[in-house]
Amino acid sequence: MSSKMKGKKLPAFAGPLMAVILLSVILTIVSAQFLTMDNWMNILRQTAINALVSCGMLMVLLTGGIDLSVGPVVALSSCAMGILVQRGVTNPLLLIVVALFVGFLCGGFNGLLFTKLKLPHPFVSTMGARQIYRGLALFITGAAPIAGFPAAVMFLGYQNIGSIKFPVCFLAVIVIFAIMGIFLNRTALGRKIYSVGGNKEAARLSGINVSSTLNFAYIMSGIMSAIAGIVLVGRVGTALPLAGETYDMDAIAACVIGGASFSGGKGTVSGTLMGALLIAVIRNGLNLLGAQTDIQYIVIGAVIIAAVFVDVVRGNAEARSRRLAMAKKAAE
Amino acid sequence: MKKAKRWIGILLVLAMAFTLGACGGGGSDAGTTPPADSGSGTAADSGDSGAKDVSSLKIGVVMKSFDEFQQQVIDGAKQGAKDAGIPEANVTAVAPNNESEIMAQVQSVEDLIAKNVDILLIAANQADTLMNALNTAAEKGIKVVMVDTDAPDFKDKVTYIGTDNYEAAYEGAKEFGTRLGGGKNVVILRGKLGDPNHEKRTEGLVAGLEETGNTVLETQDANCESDKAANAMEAFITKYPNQIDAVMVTSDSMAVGAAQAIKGAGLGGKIKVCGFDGFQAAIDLVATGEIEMIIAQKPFEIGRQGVECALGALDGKTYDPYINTGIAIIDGDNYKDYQD
Repeated sequence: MSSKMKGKKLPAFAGPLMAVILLSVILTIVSAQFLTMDNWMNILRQTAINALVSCGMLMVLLTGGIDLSVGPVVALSSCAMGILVQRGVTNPLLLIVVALFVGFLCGGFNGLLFTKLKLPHPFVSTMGARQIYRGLALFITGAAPIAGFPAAVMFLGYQNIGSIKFPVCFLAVIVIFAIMGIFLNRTALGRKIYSVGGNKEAARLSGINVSSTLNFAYIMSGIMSAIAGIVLVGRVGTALPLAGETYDMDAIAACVIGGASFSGGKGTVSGTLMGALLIAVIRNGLNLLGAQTDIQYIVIGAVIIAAVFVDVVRGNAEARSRRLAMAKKAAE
Repeated sequence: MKKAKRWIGILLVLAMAFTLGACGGGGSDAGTTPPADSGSGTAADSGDSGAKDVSSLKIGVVMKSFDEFQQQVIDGAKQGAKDAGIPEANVTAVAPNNESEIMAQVQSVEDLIAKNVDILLIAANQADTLMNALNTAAEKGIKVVMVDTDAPDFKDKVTYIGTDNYEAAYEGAKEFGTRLGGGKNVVILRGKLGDPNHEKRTEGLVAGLEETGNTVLETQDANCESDKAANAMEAFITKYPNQIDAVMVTSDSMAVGAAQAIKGAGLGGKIKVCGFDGFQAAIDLVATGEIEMIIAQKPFEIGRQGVECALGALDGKTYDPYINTGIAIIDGDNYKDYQD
C-alpha cells in the first residue's frame, strides 16, 4: 500500500510541474513581461487563496467526498471578522480566532450532516450547506462589503517580504502544505484518511472510526477555507459576502490536475499545489496577453480534461505493468 | 406506516385549509381594491378614504440579486411606503441568488401576483423572459414600476425609474476624464462578459474617456470579484509598467480590489481609481484617498420614487415612461454625506 503510494507520488506531482514549465516557456516567448520577478511574485500571490482552499478540498476528496461549500465558508469567515470590526473590535488575534472558529463550525456542520444525518452523499449535504453559509454571510453583513480591517489582520494577505516582494500568503501556503504533507503521510490519522477513501468498509472492519475521520476531513476543509478568507481580506482590504463564487470549482480543478481522484484514496498535497500553481499561471498568462474570460474558461477546461486524461492513461499503464509482473511471477 | 398515513392526512387537511384561506384572502383583497379605485374616481374625498385604504396596500419588490445596491433600492421602497403610511411589513422583497437565474424572477413575480400585491417594483434581469408575467400582473390591475433596469417592450408599466447604464457610465467617465486632464492612459475592469449592464457601462466609460481625450489601454473582465480585480490589476501593472494613470471599473467590488493591488505595488496615488455604484467599502476608500471618485446611481431614490409613482398611479396619475434619477459623484469633498 505505502510503496504504491510512494510510487505514484512522483508522477502526480511531476505532471502539472512539467505543464507549468512548458506553459512558462511558451508565455516567456509570447509575453515580454511574463518572466519577471514581479510577475512571478504576482503569480504566487494569486495562487495562495486557491491553494489553501484546495488543500482542504484535497482532504475531503481523499475520503471520497466533496465540499461544495468552500466559497461561502471563505465569505462567511471573513464577514464574521468584518462585523466584529464594524462593532469596534480591533484585536487582530481575536478576529483571526473568530474566523478560524467559523471555519471549524462550518466544516463540523458539513461533517455531521454526512456522518450523523446520513445524507446520501456529501455532494448533497455541502450543496445545501453552501446555500446556508452564503445566506448567513449576506444576512450578517446586510449584503454590504465591509472595509476597515486592522493592518495585523491584513498582514497575511497583503504583506511582502524583502526586496523581491515575496508574498507572506505564499509563505503560509508553503508552511501549511509542508505540515499537511507530513500529516497525511506520516501520521496515523493521515493514513486513515487515505484508507477511508480507498475502501470505507475495509477501513471500518480494520477498526478505523470512519465517522470521526470523515468529520475531521470536513473540519480541515472548513478551517482551510477560513484561512483563505483571512488571506482574501488582506488581499482586497474588504470582507465580501459574495466572495468565492467559483472557489469550489477552482479547488476541485487544482486537486484533480494534481492527480486526486473523485473515488477517493488518491491525491497528494504536492500535486495539488502544482495544480493550483498551474491554474494561476494560465490565468496570469492570459491576462498578460489580454485574453478575456471566455478564452480563460476554454483553456482551463481543456487543461483539466487533458490532466485527467493523462492520469487515466498513466493508471491504465500501471495496472497493465502490474498484471504483467504478476503473470511473470505466476509463470515462474 | 400508520403513523406516516396519519401525517399525510394532517398535511392534506392543512393544505386544504391553507388553500381555502388563500382563496378567502384573495376575495377580501379583491373587495378592498374597488374602493381604492372609486376613491381616485371621486377626487373630492380621496384624501380621507385614501389614507384608510393605503395601510392595507401590499407592495412587492423583485430585485436582480442580493447586493448593497439592490438592498438600497429595497430600503428606498420601504421608506416610500412608510412616507405614505403603509406599514413596512406590507413590503415583500425577493431576489434570485444570482443575476443569471432568470426563471427565478419570473416565479417571484407569479408568486407575488398570487399574493395579491397592489404594487410591484421590478428590476428586470432579462426583460423578454419576464414579459408574460409582467403582462399578467398589469391585467390584474397591479401597478408595475420598472426600477433600475427597464423592460422596454412592456407597455403597461407605470414608468421606468433609474439611470440608463450607458448614460451613467458616459456622464461619470466624462467627469473623471476631465479631472484627469486628458492625454492619460486608463485601464478598465469590467463585470461579467455578456451581462448587458456591464456591456453598457463599459461602452459608456470608453466613450466618456475618449471624448475627454484620454486613451483606454485595455479592458479586462474581472467578474465583479475583488480578488479577480486585484489579479487583473497586477497583470496590468506588469504589462504596462509606468504607463497607467488611472483605472475605471463597472462596479465597486472591483474598485476595492484594484485599489488594494495598486497599494500593494507601491503605486498608491500614482494610479487613480474611479469606482462605480457607491458601496460603503469603496466610500471608505474615498475617505482614505485610495479611491479618487465614485460614479454612483441613486438606488435609494429609485426605490422611494418607485413606490411614490405606483401610489400616484393607483390614484389615476400618469407618468413619463422614463424618469431619470441621474448620477451622483462621490469624492473627497462630499463622501461624508454618503457614509453610513
